[in-house]
Amino acid sequence: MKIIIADDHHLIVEGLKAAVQKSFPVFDINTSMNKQELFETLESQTTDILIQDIKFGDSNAKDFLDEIKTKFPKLKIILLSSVSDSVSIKQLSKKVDSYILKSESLDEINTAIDSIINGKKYFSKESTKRLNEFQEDNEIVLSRREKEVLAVIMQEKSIKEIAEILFISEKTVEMHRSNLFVKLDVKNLTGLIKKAIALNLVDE
Amino acid sequence: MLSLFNNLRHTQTVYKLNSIDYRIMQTSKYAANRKEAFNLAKLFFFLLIGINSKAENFEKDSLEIVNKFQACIGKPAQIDSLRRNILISFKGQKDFEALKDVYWFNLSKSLFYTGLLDEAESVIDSGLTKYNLDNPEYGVSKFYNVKASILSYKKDNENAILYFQKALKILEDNNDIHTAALIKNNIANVFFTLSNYENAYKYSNEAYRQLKKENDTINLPGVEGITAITAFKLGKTEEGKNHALSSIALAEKYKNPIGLIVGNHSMGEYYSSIQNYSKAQEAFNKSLELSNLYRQSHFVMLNKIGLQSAYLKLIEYDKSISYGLQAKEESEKLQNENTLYAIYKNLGYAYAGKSDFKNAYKNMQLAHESYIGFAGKENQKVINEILIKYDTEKKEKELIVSKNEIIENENKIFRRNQWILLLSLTLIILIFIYLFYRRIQEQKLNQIQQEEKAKQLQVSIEAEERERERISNELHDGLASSITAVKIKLENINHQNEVPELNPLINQLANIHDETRRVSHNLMPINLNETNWVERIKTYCFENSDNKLRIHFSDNLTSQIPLKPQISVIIYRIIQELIHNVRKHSQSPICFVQIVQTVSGISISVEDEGIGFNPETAIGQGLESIKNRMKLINGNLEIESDINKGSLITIEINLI
Repeated sequence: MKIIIADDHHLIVEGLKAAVQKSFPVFDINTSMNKQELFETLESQTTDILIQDIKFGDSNAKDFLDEIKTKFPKLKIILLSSVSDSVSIKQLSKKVDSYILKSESLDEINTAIDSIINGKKYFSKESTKRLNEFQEDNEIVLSRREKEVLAVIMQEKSIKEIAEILFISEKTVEMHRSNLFVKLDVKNLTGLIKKAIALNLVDE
Repeated sequence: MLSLFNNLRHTQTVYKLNSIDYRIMQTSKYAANRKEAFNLAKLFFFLLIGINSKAENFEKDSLEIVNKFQACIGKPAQIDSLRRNILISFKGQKDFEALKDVYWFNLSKSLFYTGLLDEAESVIDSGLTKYNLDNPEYGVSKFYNVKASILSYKKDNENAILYFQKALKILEDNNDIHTAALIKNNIANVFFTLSNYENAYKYSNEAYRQLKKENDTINLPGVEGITAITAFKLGKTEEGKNHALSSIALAEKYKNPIGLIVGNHSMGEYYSSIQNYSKAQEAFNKSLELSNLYRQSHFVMLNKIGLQSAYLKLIEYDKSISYGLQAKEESEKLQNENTLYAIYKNLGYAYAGKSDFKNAYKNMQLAHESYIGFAGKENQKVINEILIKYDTEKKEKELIVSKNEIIENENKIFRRNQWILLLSLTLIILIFIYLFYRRIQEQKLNQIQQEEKAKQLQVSIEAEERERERISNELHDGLASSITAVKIKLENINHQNEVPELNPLINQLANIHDETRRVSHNLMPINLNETNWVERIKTYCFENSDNKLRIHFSDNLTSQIPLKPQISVIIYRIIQELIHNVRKHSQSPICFVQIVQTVSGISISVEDEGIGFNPETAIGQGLESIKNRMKLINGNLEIESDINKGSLITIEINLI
């Protein structure tokens, strides 16, 4: 089993190599500090697993992941990233076999290698948590103004009347109203009122 | 004999064309110039006593009577004494009755030429008493001839014609065709005076034919001239012209001045009738010259009338008026009222032509007055029409003059107003052009200033972004990587030799790494580009949401809204700043970030429920900087806030 560790920071490369070698003493571990070196190594030696830092010197791994996948289809990739936002995780995780945040424990790398050897994909605890957190954030929270506008809308007032009652511009009323439609996922005023009552969003 | 004729010429007050006058004038002048007294005497006798030549003594005695009476023409006292004495000397002679006849006739003639018309007439009547007037003998004709002449002078024209015709009948009965022709000419003259041109032409034409047949070279040119004039009056232009030319030719041939006068006058009439007024003027002038020379005052007057008319037509008003005034004088001297009408009328026209309406009007009124009682062809209506016309024209001309003055004044005012208007317009246009030019310059300057500002802002933004990127990279590549490296090292140590104290350190390093990474990403969002800016903002909200400040993000975008990289960076930074402000100042536990697609672009709001602020007083450098950057990307910033009412800051970007 041949593993290559690609990171532009030599301390990290050394540390990772030490850690992986310790867990998997029989594995043949190479290192690479830049893209050119990485591709040369991959071409000269059949490699099974690539542990790739997303920020790789002057280049970004994101840009050459597709190229690697095409050239070395059998190569499994563990992406080691400091990019922790759900959007990036979601996008990048499609292209790799494992996604681990740099802030996570080294054990996560060992778990990932184990999973890949067993033919499974692995996403670290933290990245999975981030993905879920992001997707779960669909709780309906209305701002105070939105609540005020909604309350007056429930009294079947026109935009002009609402603006006069709340001392705000008609444009603002319209904005709040369209935000209410979005947040409550409704198409019209009737739907908005129904859902507001159903969810008990209006006080009193 | 000669002096008699000369006297006759001087004393005559004749104004009409009368064959008697003709003969007297013609022969006297002829005699005076040509010294052919004998011929003249013969001629004269022929008419008067030619038929009476019975014996030698009688002829001598009659001549004596004739001479004596002719000598006292114009001297009434002498005529009177002669009248009482002369017959006594012949008493007892065998031809006394015949001599008596000669006496009556010559007495009447002398009285007639002296101007004692009534006495002359009574003498004629006395002379006629011894004749049987129911069956008059030849000698009566000469009395009738003189009586008719007297009547004619007394303007009893009807009786004049009657007596001329009586004389004519006697002469024709006695086969004296030549004398009859002369009488006919006399009748023609009376008709001519009455403006009865048809009869005038008829008689003068007959007289002319007769005299031509007779080869009377003395009377013929004059008679033919009259024929010519009457022919013109009847519109027989060609015939008149031929007669006129023929009379002139004859007159010239036989040195007959009367013929030349009448002929040239008739040529003047001819040229007038064909409207060749300059030729007419020449002919009239020629006739006038001769008339003056031979003291033919009647033709002097007629020619002056002709010239007045001709010059009027030639639009030589001054000459026309001059001849008109002279003709008027002549006419008055000759008491010829018939001609006054025409003279006044033409004077009126001439003055009118000169626009001397006062005199024109005066003369037209005089013409009108002289028309009254005048039995001409022209009727009152015509002259009234002319008067009215002139009155109207006068007023019209006056009106036109005053109208013209008014129009001229109006035009002046109009022109002046136009100028004023034009100048004011020009001035206004110039002012507008100047203001427009200045405004354009100001706008240009403004635009340049704004562009400069925008450029500066852009440069500063870019510089800031570069600096952020540099720091971000330093943090990420340098610090964060080093922290990771240290953490890995510690983890490796911990794996080899379990050191429980290391675990919290490793966790702490992980947190430090996360924090470094967050700060790095806040400084420089990873891969922020034209399409993923909404995702980046959402991520930012999520990553920076914590227990102190919950950040809620929502949007109604159904598809990606592509923005220029420059704009997406600015929006991202502004939202970052607004959230930072909320965290720092509002004391609000919650913040709403909402991106809404609008008709014209996008609207992004950042709302909190904090302590709020007064937007009019509390706009600090931060918000001012945001406003400036919004301008740069054609956007707008609105702030709604009040104390304890939270704040709502909306930015709108117009994408159309």
